Amino acid sequence: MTLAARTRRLGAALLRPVDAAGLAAFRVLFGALMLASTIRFAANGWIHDLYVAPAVHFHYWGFAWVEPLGALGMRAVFVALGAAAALVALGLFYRPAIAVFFALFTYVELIDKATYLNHYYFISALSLLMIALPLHRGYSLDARRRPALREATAPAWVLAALRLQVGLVYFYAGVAKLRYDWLVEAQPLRLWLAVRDELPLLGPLLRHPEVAWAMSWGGALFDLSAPFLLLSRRWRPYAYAGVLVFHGLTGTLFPAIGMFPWIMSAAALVFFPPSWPRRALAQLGGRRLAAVAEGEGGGGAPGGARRPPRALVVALAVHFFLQLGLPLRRFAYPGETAWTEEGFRFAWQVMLVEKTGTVSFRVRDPASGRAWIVDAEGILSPLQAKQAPFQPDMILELAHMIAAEERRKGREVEVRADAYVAYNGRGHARLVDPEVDLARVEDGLAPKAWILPAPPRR
Amino acid sequence: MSYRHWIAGTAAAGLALAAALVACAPEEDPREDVLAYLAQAGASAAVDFADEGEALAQATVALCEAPSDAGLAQAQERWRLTRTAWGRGLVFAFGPAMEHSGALDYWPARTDTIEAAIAAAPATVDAAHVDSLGTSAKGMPALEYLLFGAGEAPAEVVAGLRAEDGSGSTRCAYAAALAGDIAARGEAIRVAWAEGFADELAGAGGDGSRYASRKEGIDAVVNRSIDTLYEIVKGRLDGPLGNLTGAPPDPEALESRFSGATVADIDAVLRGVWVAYDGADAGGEARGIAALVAAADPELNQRIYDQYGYALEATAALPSPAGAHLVEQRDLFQAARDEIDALRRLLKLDVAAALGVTLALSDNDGD
Repeated sequence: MTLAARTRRLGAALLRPVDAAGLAAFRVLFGALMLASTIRFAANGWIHDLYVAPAVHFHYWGFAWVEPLGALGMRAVFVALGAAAALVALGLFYRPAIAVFFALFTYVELIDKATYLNHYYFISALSLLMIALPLHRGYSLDARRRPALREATAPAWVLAALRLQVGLVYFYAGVAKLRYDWLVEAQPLRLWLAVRDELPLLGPLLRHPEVAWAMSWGGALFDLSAPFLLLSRRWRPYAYAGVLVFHGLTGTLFPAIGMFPWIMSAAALVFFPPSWPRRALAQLGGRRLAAVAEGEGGGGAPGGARRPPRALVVALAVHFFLQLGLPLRRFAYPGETAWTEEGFRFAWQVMLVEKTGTVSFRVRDPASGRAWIVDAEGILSPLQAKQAPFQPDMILELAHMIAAEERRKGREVEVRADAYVAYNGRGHARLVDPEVDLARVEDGLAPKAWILPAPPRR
Repeated sequence: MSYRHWIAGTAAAGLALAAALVACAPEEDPREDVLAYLAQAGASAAVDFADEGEALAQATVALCEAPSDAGLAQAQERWRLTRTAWGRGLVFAFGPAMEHSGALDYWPARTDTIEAAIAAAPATVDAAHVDSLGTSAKGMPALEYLLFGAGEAPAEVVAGLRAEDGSGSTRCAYAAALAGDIAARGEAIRVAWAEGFADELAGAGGDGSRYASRKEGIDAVVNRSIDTLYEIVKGRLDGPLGNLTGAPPDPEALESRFSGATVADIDAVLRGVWVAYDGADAGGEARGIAALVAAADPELNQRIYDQYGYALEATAALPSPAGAHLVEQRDLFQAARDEIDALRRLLKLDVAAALGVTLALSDNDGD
């Protein structure tokens, strides 16, 4: 078959109509989980702790202009986030709701990179994608409100886009695990599991170092194969059982990962045949519930075969180009990126490092010759104080904050960092060159020559 | 064999292996012995401080009954011993001592506040009055000022206590009340350790313990060790050295500057940290945190022993009284500070990681 013929065939396959029920279920689960996550965030006091209380915030390169809105403003943002999530779940004003959700969620995440989480990035990427996807044409209040909107099916590319977005997380998380520390040293799982040995039932098992190796290899193989096995009709039930066991286990062993297991367990349902909700409802609720489901989703025109607008195709191509490319950028940086953290974010580098750090700054005023130490951890929130010492770009920003503060007092100072980091069970080492005046270093995406090499393995 | 059989077989084999591993898991947890030792060491440190505090109170009362050079020397010596006991027990100040540490050890002493409190004191200075005082007017640093004076010779201090215009007796009554307060707080700490806290620490993870797991009990001691070293570095050395401001060294910012016990204080605190970390009897095996670190990472444990040796050596090299030498021999003080800070880093970064003290997932893995 020629390339052109293959392309035509792929195009036809992507326009093929598929049951909209699975897509609607995805929308409902996503909205419900985001609503729960927002409520949980507020209930834990994290709006105040992370966005109101800190005296300073760490900005992403190019986003220094993003600032929090103050206590009232941030609360309003989270109320709006919760409302948008609920509207997404209900399928009411879906497009504006998911657009608002994406904008506000991403705004919140951009305020402070100390709060970066892989699954927050996943939610941003996914909600951006969902703006382009017609997930509200069945099982939604929009479809009830505007019957003309109702469609029993959707083009297959919608499902494919969601599967690709979710599959990339697993696959790249697996690729990220193909490194010496993970596979040979079983780090950081060896450190993490050993201290969970007081758990009931599982605890005694975790005292065996072999378990850390088994879980390291198992985790890597699982991540690498999960999207492919979930796509396979034959292996899907077992793969999904694996998803539940894997996320259940990580949620039990590492409660700090919070909503991540729930989100990924729900997201992986997108790999099931798109009519899975109808079957599930029929099995759970009998014919009556299935009939209701049929009525909600059916009755509309088939949604396939329509070509998406060219602008949408281009937007999706750009989106997935970035999704495919961003995780690979770490290969462009020298050294161990888990140590340097260059190319580490937005790349599904999940559960790869155990780091503890400490940083202080030596400030010198060349005009007077005075030199002093600034223990920056004192001005940071607990989360920032934990994160900043082992993240070079945060250390650089702290140095710039110190220099800016002195500049306000009329002094142009030199700022050098004494940053020490313990990493994946290796002896602690300096992270940045103590001789470099960081006040004169510009932030950017180029490799940071002032980051010192990772300490040797022991 | 179908793939279903293959999966069932693999799952069964996995479960059997897991069951075998659980069955083979070591039943004894070395943390139990370490926690028992730490509880005993903490209780013992509390007893030492309470005993010394009581002896200090008695010596101060005796001094006030008949102020004399000999009586003053006796009270001063008791103050030093109390101070040393406090320093050695600081590493255990995460339990019942927490609520008393401000009232016992507010520092640096504010002489003007203390003098103002004496001037405003009633004729009878009792425990209730001391209780009503702010922390800057009481505790060991305030008593140190009264017993040693701010640069006065002992005879001048005694003369102040003997002053016949009434100020001498008030001054002495105030000093005796402060010593009584120190003794009472020491006793309260001792009782708290003896009547529950030591058992809670030893039985961490069990019923009735404030520590939900043995790990939490160990965490408390390691974290307190790190904080204790941080207090030496930042509070006792960086401040007086001028490291935090770029100003010249300031002897007036030194802890225990009236008694000249600055170096002895640092030495006591450092040795106290070692009681928690090592805790070996002479020639014996480590019973403290080191027992766990040695099992997890013997090389790291050796580095900590080496670094403790360097820190102790650098502290021993400090001239005393520190106030008289800080400016001219700043480098020696800076060197001691750096060695103690290096020990702090080892505990904070490497020991914490080896024992899982700060172990949580990296925060970019979850929420």
